[in-house]
Amino acid sequence: MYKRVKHYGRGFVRIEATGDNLEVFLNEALETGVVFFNTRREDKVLYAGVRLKDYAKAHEAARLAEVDVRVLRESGLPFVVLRWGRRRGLLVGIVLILATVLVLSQFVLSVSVEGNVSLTTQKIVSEADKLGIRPWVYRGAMDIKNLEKQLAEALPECTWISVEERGTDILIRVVEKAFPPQVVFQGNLVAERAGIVEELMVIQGLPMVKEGDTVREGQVLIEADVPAKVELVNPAEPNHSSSEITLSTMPVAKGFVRGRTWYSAEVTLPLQEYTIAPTGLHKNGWGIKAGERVIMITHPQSPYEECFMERTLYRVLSWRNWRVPVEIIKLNYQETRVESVSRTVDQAMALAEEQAQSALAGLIPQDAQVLGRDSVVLFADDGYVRIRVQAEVFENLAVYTQ
Amino acid sequence: MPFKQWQQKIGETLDLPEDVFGGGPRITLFGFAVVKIEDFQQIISFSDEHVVVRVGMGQVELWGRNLVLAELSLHEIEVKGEIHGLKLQEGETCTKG
Repeated sequence: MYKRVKHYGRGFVRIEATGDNLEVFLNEALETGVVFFNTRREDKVLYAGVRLKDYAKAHEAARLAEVDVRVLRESGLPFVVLRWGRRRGLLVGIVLILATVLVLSQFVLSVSVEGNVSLTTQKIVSEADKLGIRPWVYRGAMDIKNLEKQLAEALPECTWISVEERGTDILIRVVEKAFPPQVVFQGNLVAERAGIVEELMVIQGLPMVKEGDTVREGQVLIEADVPAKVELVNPAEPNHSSSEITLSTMPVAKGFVRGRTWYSAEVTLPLQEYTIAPTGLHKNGWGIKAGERVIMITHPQSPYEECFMERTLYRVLSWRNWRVPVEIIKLNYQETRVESVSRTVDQAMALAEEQAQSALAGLIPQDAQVLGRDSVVLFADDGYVRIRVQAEVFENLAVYTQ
Repeated sequence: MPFKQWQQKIGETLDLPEDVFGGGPRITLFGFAVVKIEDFQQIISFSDEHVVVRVGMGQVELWGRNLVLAELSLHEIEVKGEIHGLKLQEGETCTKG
């Protein structure tokens, strides 16, 4: 190997020698220090490889031995250099291309945006442009972390912004803020649920109920009125005709209606219950998964009568997007058994009440004020207890119809 | 006692290898495919089936098929190919070259 590299570096020629005195030619050449490689003879023709520096000596030996020598092939680095030297234009072109790529790679060539929904890409790009993130900016002069902060300040609509260099592309990824749905003031105000009206305040529209009234779910509380028209008179210009401003084009009701409402939750619990519980024993089954095919090596079947099974896949060897198409599969069998739970009536009622209270807490709106709670045992026989818990709350009743 | 005999005797006494004091060539055979002859003097004849070289004490003949002189320099010759026979012939030979 080393010899080949050495010969390639120094250059060699493949010669063809024709004549009657080929042995004389070889001996003459050897005397002058010529080294031959892969010398083959076909009748009166001899083929051999000669080092570039030996060629002149070989030629002289051939002249003395009256043998004709011609070069068949030139190989090695010196000839490559010579050839490239002749194609100077191509060499300059390659160097120019490399230099251009090298220079261009130092600049930002494009800015792309990902993750925007309501914000337009154009707006983000223009904000980035103001901060200096734009094509043809020298990448080395950019302080990405700082720019990221500045861009986040410039775009308050976003909760998170990342600026990332991906080669010559600057990728701006944004996560927009999720605003709560805006209340559309439109139409009548109706009762969200049944209750007794305790407070009523009308800002706009016609009240359809009065304090102390019992209302059903969906009943109109304040009816929408025609849009209000406000007359504006400019005191500075008394002669100027008054202008009318229409605040809204749709009829709308505005106001507050608060009242008492009731919430309830019921829970039925058996006195004896059967549950599936893990015993704590578990075993692992190992296998190989190739595509859709699974070959289990240990525990292809569950060793337990009743069990939960958890499947985990492990990837073996992966590099970037490439991975070995075979995966290792682990099946974790966890033994389970059916357990019976017996409760006394008191225990069952306490548990049922606890469950019902937590269910009730989920029903009551957070801003509602709880006035009182109450629990009722509906029945406790036949192996079951049924409990209802109810709460009286004071809350906003009025909502807009869709 | 002639000088050559003295040389040989000293070599034998000191347990030196033959090629150090003997003045003869060293012929190495690697399997049936490669023959290396060091310290040869001249190529007498050479074809793809027959190679004859002159060494200090006579000549070495090689027969075979597709014989190629893999490397050939002033003192060393390496022949590759299917080697069928090797013959050593002592004494002065007339050279063809």
